[in-house]
Amino acid sequence: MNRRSATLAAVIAALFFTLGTATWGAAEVSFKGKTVAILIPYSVGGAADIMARQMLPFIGKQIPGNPTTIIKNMPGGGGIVGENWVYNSAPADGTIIGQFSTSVTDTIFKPTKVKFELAKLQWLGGVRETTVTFVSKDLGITKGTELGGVKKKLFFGTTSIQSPRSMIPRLLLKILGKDHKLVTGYGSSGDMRAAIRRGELNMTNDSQSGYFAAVLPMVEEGAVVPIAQEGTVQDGKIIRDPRLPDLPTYYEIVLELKGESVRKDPNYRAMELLAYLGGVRRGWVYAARVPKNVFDTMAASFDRFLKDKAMSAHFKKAIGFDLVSLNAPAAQAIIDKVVEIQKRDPEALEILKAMAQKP
Amino acid sequence: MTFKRSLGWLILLTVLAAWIILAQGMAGKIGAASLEGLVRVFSWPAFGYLLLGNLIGFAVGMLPGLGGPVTMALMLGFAFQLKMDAVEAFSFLLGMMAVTATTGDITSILFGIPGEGSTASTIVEGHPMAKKGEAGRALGASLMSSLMGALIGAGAIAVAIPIVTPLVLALGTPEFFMLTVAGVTFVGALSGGSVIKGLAAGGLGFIFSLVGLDMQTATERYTFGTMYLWGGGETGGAGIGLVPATVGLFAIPEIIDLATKGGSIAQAHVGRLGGVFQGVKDALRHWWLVARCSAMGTYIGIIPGMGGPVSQWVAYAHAMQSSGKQDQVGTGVIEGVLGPGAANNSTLGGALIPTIAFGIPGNVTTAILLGAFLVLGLRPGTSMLTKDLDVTFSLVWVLVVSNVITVSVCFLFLNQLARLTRIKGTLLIPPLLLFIYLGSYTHTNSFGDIIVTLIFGALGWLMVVFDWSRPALLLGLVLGRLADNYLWISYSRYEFGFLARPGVLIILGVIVMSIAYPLIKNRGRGRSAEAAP
Repeated sequence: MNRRSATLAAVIAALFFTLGTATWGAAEVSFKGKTVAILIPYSVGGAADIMARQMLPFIGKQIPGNPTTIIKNMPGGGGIVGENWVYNSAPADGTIIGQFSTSVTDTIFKPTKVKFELAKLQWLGGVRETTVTFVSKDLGITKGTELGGVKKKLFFGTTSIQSPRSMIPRLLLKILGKDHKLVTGYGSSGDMRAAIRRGELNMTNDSQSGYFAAVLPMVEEGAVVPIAQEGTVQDGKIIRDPRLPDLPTYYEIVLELKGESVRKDPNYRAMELLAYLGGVRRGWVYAARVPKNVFDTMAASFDRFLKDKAMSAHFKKAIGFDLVSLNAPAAQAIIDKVVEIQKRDPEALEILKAMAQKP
Repeated sequence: MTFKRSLGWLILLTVLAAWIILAQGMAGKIGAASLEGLVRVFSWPAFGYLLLGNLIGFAVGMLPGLGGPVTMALMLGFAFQLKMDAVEAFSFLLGMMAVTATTGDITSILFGIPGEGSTASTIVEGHPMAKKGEAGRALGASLMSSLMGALIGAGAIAVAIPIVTPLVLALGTPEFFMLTVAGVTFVGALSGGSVIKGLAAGGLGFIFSLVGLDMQTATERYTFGTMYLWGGGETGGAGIGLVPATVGLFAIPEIIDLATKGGSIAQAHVGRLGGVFQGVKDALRHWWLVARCSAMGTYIGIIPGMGGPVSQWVAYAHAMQSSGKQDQVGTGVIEGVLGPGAANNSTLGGALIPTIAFGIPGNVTTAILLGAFLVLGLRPGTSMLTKDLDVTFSLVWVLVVSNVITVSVCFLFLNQLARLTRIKGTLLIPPLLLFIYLGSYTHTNSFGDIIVTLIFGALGWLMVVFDWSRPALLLGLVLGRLADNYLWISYSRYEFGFLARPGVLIILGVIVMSIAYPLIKNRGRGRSAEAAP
């Protein structure tokens, strides 16, 4: 070996060593002087956007190097344009975090448009919410198990036939064999609350935030009665949401009325699948391309963010209940389960796909 | 005319009588809360935030594309971080929102570029006035009617408190559908010379409105495989955005006109600047028209899904129809400035009513405000009408005070603003083009917005050349999607039974009468003209 190649070898070795320490040695990546954007795949002013804007001041201070944090809106395709962009085109340096609401169900209901693989997204964390079904007082019932005996015709309102939120109560009515009419096309939960008040609808459901904010006053007033909730997934089981301990889940109602044998009914299994699909209500994700050390740093930042007392106090005031958060492993576990059930139970999956096409 | 006027009085008196009966016993409480609300708006730092909000709203209104709702969403975080209390936050947010429709009219009149999606209709008569050298008069008229509209809209909240349940809940989706049909009958008034051409333009707008994901079954319509045309909402939506389409239809042809003709916007000599006062007098002289259009704007604000984009065109059509100058569309008819000027301002007051009383937001703006309500610890519903009535009244006062301040400030600068129409076109075009494209781009932050603006620009130019009605097309665009959606819900809920509902039949009767009345009148006139010699 001559001198020249020895020098070259030394330089290469030094270079590898530096790179090596950069990637393996430093566990924590600093975002100092950078701008980290939370990408919202919807327009400014929607529920997802407003939530993220309230998060910003709390998340920025948890990320090493205290980067500037901003919101980037990329609306289109009901969220898919932004989801596809994060997965395929966003910079891989960790400065773009996607905040996804419907990525899980999009892979089922809009498979030809989705350009990402659910199993390959890296989940930084998320929040959990249940949904609540409520009925007009005119139906004269006080709990979900009485639904079968209602004499009046049921008019169940929802936004679109593909709305995953409405599918669980639709399945409940199907399993109970209860005739009903699905009325679709309402622009928002607000429109449906108005429709219930004027007697146009007598049954609908809402997100947990919507329930606490606007439906609870109607319950106190006696105009509507809550009858069932979706529940949340914990340790692989569907349980009542701890923030609504007195409201039974759809699954409890069905089991009480139909007995244990109902577990074999594909409609019931489709209902269970939906609970998992909704397990991460809003999740923060990185594309698969983002390096492991960057992911670890950001996942730890989100963990600190979700444990921040000032943050939870703010959200309790803003949404009226405690935020139940999922750290990176918990969110990842729910997504893994979704992927697994989809493979294991194609029959339940087909039922959901059919429901997205026909009432 | 006498028949119409007496019908108007009859309706007014009935409403008044009903209100007096329902409001009994609440008058004292309303008075006290109103006073307390006023004091809270004027206390420090709420008043400072109000002024800051007005300042931001002033600029946002003038900048095309950058709309009130978007800015409000951006400012929301600011309000939370400063830990404002309820009245402070509303002074800031609503103070900003309340004036955007007022200053948005200014760019519509001066440059033919709508400052807001809800101020496009002021262009149709206001901009020709500016070209004739009457910019001052048009601005004076529009600002005065905006102020009157805002006051009436704000007053409507106070008036609505005792009668809010029947006001908001009397009409259901089938009636909303019939109201959109009633809106379509206005196409006749918007078409200028040829009704057939007007109907065709309206129909074209209707078809454009269907582009996107349909709201009922999420089916793609006319999207040609591009996801841009799915629309930007959380559940999909309208593929063709109102702002890019409006800016394209109206602003691009004006720019082309300015570039090819040379000279300045005002082609005639700019008249004496005293024209501003002339405009104010116009508004006061036509007070009854301004009041009617404000009332229309308020009620349209209450209906979910509708708002400024709809109310301005309905008010414009009504103003032109009742002025009897339908054959002079686009020549600078002052009524056509006053009507929309009032209606787009009163709409906000109307939209607040269901939001406060039931937590049912009437449009995007109030949906964002509803979010703010909750963060600030306010529960919409009965408590806003009882325990927190003073906060409710502070909202009313924010609308009033903001518009009084902004309109007064505008009057100070109006002569200078009107002089802008004398600047050489070659100097104006570059900044105007920048604002047009920047404004369109804010719709979804994608290049598709620019393409839509250009396509509608070309279409708008062709429509000007061949004398087709652009207002009719826009009315079709704003009403089409609503009509489609309301009809679907009505049918899927009631099937054909919805046609037999009393409300539907009454509105149908009014539609038939409003079409038949001018025909009968004209025939009578024709006969007497024949008999005369």
